Amino acid sequence: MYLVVDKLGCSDIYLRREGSSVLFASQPSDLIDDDGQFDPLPIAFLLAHEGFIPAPFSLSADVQAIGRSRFARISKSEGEIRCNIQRYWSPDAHWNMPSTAAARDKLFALLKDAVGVRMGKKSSILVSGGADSSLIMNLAASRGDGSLLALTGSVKGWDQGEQEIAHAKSIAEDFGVPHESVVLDPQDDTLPEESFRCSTSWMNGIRLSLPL
Amino acid sequence: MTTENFHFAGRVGCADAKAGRTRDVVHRPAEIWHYEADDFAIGVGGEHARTVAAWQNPVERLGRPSVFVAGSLYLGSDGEYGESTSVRPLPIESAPEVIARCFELHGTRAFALLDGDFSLGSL
Repeated sequence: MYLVVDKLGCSDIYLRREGSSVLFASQPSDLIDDDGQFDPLPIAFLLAHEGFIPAPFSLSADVQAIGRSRFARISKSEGEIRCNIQRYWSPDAHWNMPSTAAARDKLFALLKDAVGVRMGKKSSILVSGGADSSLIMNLAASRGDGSLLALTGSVKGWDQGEQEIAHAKSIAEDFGVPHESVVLDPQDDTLPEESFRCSTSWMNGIRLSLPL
Repeated sequence: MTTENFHFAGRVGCADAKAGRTRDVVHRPAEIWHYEADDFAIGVGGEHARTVAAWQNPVERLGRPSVFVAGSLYLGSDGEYGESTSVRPLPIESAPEVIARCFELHGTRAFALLDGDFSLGSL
């Protein structure tokens, strides 16, 4: 069995050895025991780097992340489970970039191309009101087919989230893109258990600006 | 402002399904895809995953790889993903079979051709 992680994506796959078994999950919380011990080294990294833990670490010393551009091959040989992690891709360091201006032009062309590839008949974009998502929204809106919807998510009662919604809405209006906001209410009993993975994703190595 | 319910797709599994905790781990989410053979098991859960996912039934694959995909999948013209690589989206309906064929042709090198979120079982 192969467990494969994206080249540059946000999601990882987590492994835990337990006796003769290898358990795996797309969320580390499925593998961390309620009474599990935190690993102090990743916690120090988390606090120093604004909520980022690099693979292969997780908050628990018992749980390992496979890491970007890698796959885990899990096999059984002579009655024993073996788990071998390999890198399948590395970025090419030999791009033809004669100058900073050429690099900037190339990056802009690639961004436009990447946005175009990812747009369908009806597309949506998550926007925070910041520079990165506003640039992508600009590129998407400039295609001019009117199929774009801008979305901003937040948590009820979080001031910074409300500011992000206001910024994103204002910028979307400038680009002529319809904007909707989605606000999670932590007190909403009808929310499924999985909704709380918004907060546990914090320890996956994903930067999430949520009030935790 | 609107308030929405979110439901995330989760994948959990186990190698060496005879271990005591396996059933607890694999069967925890509401399953929409289940792969189990010999000592391996993987389950996929999340109500809304049904609307953005495609999968193959391992029972019908007769020794061929079985694939589960979710979200947006892309296929590169080569495995470099460099300056000259072109990328095209894979329609979700055909993505499992394309990934299975790529794996049969190229083995683990096929992973570099793909960009997206998928699970592959091959025994």
